[in-house]
Amino acid sequence: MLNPLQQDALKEYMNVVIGQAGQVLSEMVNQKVYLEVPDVQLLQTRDRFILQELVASILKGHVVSSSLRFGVECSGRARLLFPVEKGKKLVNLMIGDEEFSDHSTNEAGFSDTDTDAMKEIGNVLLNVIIGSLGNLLSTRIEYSLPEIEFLFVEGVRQDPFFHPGHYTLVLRNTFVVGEERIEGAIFVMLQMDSATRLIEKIDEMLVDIYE
Amino acid sequence: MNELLLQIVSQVNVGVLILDKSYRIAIWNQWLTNLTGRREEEVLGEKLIDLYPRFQKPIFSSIFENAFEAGQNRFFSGAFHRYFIDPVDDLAKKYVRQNMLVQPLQINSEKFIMIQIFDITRQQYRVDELKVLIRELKIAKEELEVSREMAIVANKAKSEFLANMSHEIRTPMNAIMGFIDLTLETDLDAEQKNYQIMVREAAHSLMNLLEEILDISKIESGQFSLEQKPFELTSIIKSAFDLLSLKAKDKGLSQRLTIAPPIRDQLIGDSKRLKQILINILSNSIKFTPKGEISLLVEQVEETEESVQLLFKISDTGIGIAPKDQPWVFEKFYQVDGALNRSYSGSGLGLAIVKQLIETMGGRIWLHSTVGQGTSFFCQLPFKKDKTTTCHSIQEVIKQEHVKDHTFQAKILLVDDDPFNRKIVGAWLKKWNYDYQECENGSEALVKIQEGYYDLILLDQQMPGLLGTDVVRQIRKDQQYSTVPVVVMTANAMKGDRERFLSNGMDDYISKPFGASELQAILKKWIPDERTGE
Ligand SMILES: Nc1ncnc2c1ncn2[C@@H]1O[C@H](COP(=O)(O)OP(=O)(O)OP(=O)(O)O)[C@@H](O)[C@H]1O
Ligand SMILES: [Mg+2]
Repeated sequence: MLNPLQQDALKEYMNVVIGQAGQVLSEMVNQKVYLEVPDVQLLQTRDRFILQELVASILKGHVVSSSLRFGVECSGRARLLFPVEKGKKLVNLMIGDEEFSDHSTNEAGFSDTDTDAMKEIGNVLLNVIIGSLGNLLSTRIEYSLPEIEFLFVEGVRQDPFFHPGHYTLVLRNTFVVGEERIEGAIFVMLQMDSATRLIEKIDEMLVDIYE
Repeated sequence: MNELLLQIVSQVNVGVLILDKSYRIAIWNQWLTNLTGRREEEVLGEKLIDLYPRFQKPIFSSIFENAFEAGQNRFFSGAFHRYFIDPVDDLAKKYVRQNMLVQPLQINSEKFIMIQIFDITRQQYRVDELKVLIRELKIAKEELEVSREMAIVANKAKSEFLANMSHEIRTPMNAIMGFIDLTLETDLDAEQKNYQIMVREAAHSLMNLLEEILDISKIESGQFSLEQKPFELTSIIKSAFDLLSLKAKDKGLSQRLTIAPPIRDQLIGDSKRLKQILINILSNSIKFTPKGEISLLVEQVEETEESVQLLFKISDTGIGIAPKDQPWVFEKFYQVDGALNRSYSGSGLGLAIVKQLIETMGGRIWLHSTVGQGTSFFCQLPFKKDKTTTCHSIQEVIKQEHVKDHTFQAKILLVDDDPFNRKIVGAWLKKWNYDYQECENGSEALVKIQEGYYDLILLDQQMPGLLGTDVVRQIRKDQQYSTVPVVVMTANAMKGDRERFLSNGMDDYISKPFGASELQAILKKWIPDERTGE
């Protein structure tokens, strides 16, 4: 767990990082896409209940997950997650398919093209996040190819997001496209030592700020 | 081995393109040649951005850098970028869709970028087709919604019109009927009278139709509300049943009414509508039953603190309704075999009204029927309990009226010591066409009873020798005569007498002196088959 100061510092850092991803996405789709990170937490196994609450509040039921694995000195897996309907809405907004962006039609189902689009959005975002973590920890990272999964999330089971002995960096993130705000989450699973080094780095940032 | 790998790269069914550190093309496979018309020899060593300037754009160039520097992969989708490598055919540019995957490669210390191009034109085409379908479906759905609303409005307007019209027509109809009745009271010759009676009949059925139309249109246009008033269940049921029993008798049908206890009698609801429902269904039963029996069974199927659910089962042994017609009988103006030579009267509105009423009351109606064997209609209806009156569950009510063959005459035994009395009662019985025997004391009566069967015994109480009550005690001892109805005739009826007689095994009593109508009522009551001279 981070103390409030560490948490603020990490949040600020992540907002800068994710802002870059927003720029990439904006250029890509020729419209303004803002990304915000209202909340950042670094959780371990004993904080399971916090994670559960979070999952229950934004990620219940059918969820679309766009993920990347990474390895070598710092290894783990990062996921961008949305409830399926919200994911679908985001894709429609970004493709500019207004007509299909109202989810009153029961088209929560992703077409192949939607799935590709979601894969790319996840790829952009997670590249930026993991890249910056690599920079922060000054370590070399290898990336896998992006993957899309459709998961069903039940209340108690946190499997896909939480592994014993790992830390999970949890970012709540909001996509702002035009008038619409779409909430999702990013989970980055980190090994113990990477997480410890991350905390050290955060402390260094804090020292920089306060000196 | 190397040769084999090169062949594979050349033949795979995706575009494969390798760039070296200076972004020059190092591999360009057959797939890309097919797509672009550019052969490998033409492009090898060329810079990708020279051939395809779009890759100068920062979204691409930064990715290539990232791949080299940070080892990141990147997936580009056709959903956002349409395509990356132009097809040779200009026309195809309009439709072509590609995905692109950018991956870093490293051999020893030398770095490369591998780019794969996937053709997803067909996939996109399918998705677009699907979207067109969805759009059409949405439009169709909206249109449907609109026409549905229009239909509702139109139907309501029609119902309002009908309601008003029927009301307007009813007033002059009432006058017409009134004057027909008055005309019939005047001196008419036989022919005139005959015509007038026919006019009256026609006017009656027209009036019936008007009432029905008025009803259904009131319900449909919403100008109708249900009453919530206390009523007595049994008396409503009986009055509905009685109203139709004459008709049934005319057709020679047996009738049976059963109100099965336990049942709550004091209820709150719209008793007028309940009666209307029962009358409608019962009159269908009679109308569509040429011979046999009609019956009404009432049961309480559920009871809560506040309310009860009643089940009414109306059965007949009539012509039945074929399965294919069953769903339709509740529709307005639907009549089975409604075609030309229909032999039944009516307009086909009865059940439509019944169904609407029942549903408005929160109940439901359904039916079972077998052609040639008969039909049962079931209605389940909720009623509130009336808690203001102290209630006692009612006794079981069973009313049966059997039609006996026509040669049958009810046999009556008249027991009285007073010859004058015997003469008067006897005269009435003869006039009403009853078969009767008389005797002047109790012991004689007992002998007669042993000798023959009687449908009713009229018994004087005050007689020399055996009293009326003594005679009854004797009769009731014998199992065989335990159900013969016995009515006592007594001169000094006082309060409490009734209970005393009934507890002594009498079924009823009539106090002297009595008039013809009182006697007739008693006879009718205990000899259900009506056979009076009237
Ligand atoms: N008990 C029954 N046995 C056989 N057929 C029946 C019975 N009840 C109703 N039907 C069929 O259902 C049709 C519709 O009944 P409904 O009461 O609505 O109309 P109706 O009796 O013909 O006319 P109305 O009641 O308006 O005078 C009848 O015409 C008849 O064909
Ligand atoms: Mg009818």
